[in-house]
Amino acid sequence: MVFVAATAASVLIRTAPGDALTDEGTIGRMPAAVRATRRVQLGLDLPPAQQYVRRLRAYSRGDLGWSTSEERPVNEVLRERIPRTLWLMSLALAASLLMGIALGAWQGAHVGSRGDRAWSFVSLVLFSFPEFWIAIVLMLLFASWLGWFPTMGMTSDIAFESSSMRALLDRAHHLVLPWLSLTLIGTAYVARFQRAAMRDVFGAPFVQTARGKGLAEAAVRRHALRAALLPVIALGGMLVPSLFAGAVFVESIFAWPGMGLALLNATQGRDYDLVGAGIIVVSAMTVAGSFAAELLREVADPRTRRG
Amino acid sequence: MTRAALRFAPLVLICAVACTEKPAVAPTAGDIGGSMIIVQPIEPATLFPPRMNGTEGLPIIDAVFDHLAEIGPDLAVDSDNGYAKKLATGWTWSGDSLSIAFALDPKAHWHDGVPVRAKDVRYTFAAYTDDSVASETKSLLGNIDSVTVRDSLTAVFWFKRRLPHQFFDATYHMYILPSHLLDTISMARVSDAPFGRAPIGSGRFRFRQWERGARVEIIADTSNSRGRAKLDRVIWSFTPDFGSATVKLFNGEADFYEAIRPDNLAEVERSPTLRLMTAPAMGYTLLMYNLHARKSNTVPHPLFGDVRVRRAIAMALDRTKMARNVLDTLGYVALSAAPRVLIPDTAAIKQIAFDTVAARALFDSAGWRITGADKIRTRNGQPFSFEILAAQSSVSRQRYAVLIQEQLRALGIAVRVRIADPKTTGTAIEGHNYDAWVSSVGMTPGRLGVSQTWGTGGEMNYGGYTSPALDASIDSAITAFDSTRSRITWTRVFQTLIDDQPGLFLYEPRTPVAIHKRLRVGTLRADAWYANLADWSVDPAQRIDRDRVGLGSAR
Repeated sequence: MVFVAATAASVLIRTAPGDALTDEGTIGRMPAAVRATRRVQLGLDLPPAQQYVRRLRAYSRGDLGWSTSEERPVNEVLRERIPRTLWLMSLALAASLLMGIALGAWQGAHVGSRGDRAWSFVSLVLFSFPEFWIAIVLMLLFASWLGWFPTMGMTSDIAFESSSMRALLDRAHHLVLPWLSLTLIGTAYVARFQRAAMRDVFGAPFVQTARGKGLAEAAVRRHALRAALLPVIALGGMLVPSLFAGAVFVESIFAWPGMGLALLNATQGRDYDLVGAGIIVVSAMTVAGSFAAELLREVADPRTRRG
Repeated sequence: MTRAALRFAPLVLICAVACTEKPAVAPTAGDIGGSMIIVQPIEPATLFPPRMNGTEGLPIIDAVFDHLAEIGPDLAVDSDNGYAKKLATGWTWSGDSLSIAFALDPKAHWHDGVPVRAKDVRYTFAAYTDDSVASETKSLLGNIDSVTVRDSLTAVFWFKRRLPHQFFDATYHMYILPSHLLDTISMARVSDAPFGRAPIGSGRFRFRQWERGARVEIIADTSNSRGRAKLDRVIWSFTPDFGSATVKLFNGEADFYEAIRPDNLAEVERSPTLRLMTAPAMGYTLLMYNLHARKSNTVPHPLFGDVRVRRAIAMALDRTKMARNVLDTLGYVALSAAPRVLIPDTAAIKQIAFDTVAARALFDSAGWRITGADKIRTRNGQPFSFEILAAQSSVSRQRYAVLIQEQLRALGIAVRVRIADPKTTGTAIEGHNYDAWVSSVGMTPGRLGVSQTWGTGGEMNYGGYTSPALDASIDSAITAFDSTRSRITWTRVFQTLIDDQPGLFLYEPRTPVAIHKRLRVGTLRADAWYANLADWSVDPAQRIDRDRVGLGSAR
């Protein structure tokens, strides 16, 4: 799957007009002879199929190529950018799952109540909006108008103290709005599934039997929740690629210098090597997320364990 | 204390510590000190001077590296008058004027402490002109034959022929590089070396750090022989786009934004902390015609291959009104193929007057007549219809394209406007697959850009214009030592371009710059607003928190 995704990305980006050196600004400044030399140096003068074969051979040697948009090895770019995106995504994923499960479970146990209806409405509204819109609204409200949070970036341009505690708090301060942009939608998404799963489980025969035998309602809910978690665990694996897609927009709006923003710039700049490597990384993360979800399902549901 | 309170106590303690820490106050004296944040929507790819492509990294490189001498504020290129000494403390011309010997400052040193020597100058020229380095500046150094070392502090430039701008060629384009850090790397690999990501220069600022995707920081070099920069630090803060940069500026998180858009100017003027400056630009915008049929280098364009059509279009468009409409006070009608500051005798240039009656007559005489009910001019069954390509990145150019479309419609010409992203535009231009393109041309003071853009076979001559008369005029102009003869020949060059109309010269922008009121910057030089960055300072009476950080690490 990773190979297919990387190949598709490699083919698709080369169908877009231009290459790393075909930019209106560049051709207005850089003589044609210099562009020709640089194309040869970058291998861009070769036919696309030959470029692809060269790239595959380089991958086999562990060489991810040269980033034309950052003028440095792709390995360096990924080493720097991936942790920043993982940091943002993993916090958003964890919060989305925890809060989504909690909210959905509560809703499932109180179907039809005022609280359930209110949160259903809110989650539907959140679910309907794209991440970038929510990000812009949060930035306008909490950063521009109220001034409670910085508008963008991962850290302040100037820190007044170099203590590690202050640096950590500065990072946390910058993290809030981007994290919230991803988490709100993730939570709404998970809560809706959890609510539906709880409703289905409460109708199951084993729950009725438990109630019939006089088990306390709290205990009934605990057992029901465990059964209702199974579809949500699978959902967790699917959340990884959608969170990454959201991260691309959120990183762009908040100038969060992660992998999403790097890929966006690389695509616009026709940085073929960085786009190819980036797609491989994202595909691998998706596969890993699905695999982790499968493992968790086996842990949670003994019936699905093999052997 | 309850259990719940105990659970939250560590968090409360952390917040209390964080919130009560006060910013450190660094000692300041007069106008020394302060931090400036420049917001910029484009991040440079490298800080290796020969491989700088684009203006986004130039201010940083100019602050960290040095020229041998700095051009004067009048941007005179025809002699060495007005140049300020930088790495060179003096220079001597040979009797035949085919060489200049530069004496280097013995106290100048690189930021790693190694002294600057003549071999650095020799290495610099080799790097800028090496084919594998592929510097876009190489073509501007064509008259320099070689650079030799007479002794450790004397570098000699040898020229191929006597030209008025020899001194300019030797000093303007090249930032001197540290050979001791680079000459062990092959020229084929030097552009990729880590030096481009952590440069070491000799300027009054030194490079501090580069957080990719976030910022570049430079700090004052306190041991510089010409004196430290007045500001403690300058930070270039990168944002994904123009809109984010504007948000950061108006939120007080940045002090300087060079490319503020016209739509935001009113807000800058209302801001209590910001002020507006305008800097003359070293460029102009034009409607460049493809003089050949699309994708051809030989077949004349069915419309623009005829000079009568080009002149008629010039008569049909009210450039003064367009400039007022789009730019208001932030631009002038362009006079010719150079900004005013590079045209020696602007009064002598005669423009093609706006005259729609004459335009119609000229179209008619060129065979383009209105015959059908659709009121579109045709010739031999072919409609007068073409496409204008304009870049997505420039609102002004898009507006001009629409205004041109509207004015030409009234004269029976059907224009389609195509707004495209930079890559699509670049691909179309490179492949000569366009009709007309609203293009911006940037120039250096040397006016070599005129021959690059309009000379036969010029490297940036995307319109395919050829004129032996213009080529001869340009050659006369660039070799004219006498100032009167220079003025006359350059006037002839610019007049030829107006008469021939290979492109319609639209406007010359004045760049609005938004800057924090506390910053004292002096006059912004037309070719480089950052030229005197080391002398910029903060008004001591208006210092804010970020001015009190001092020279320690900003992070």
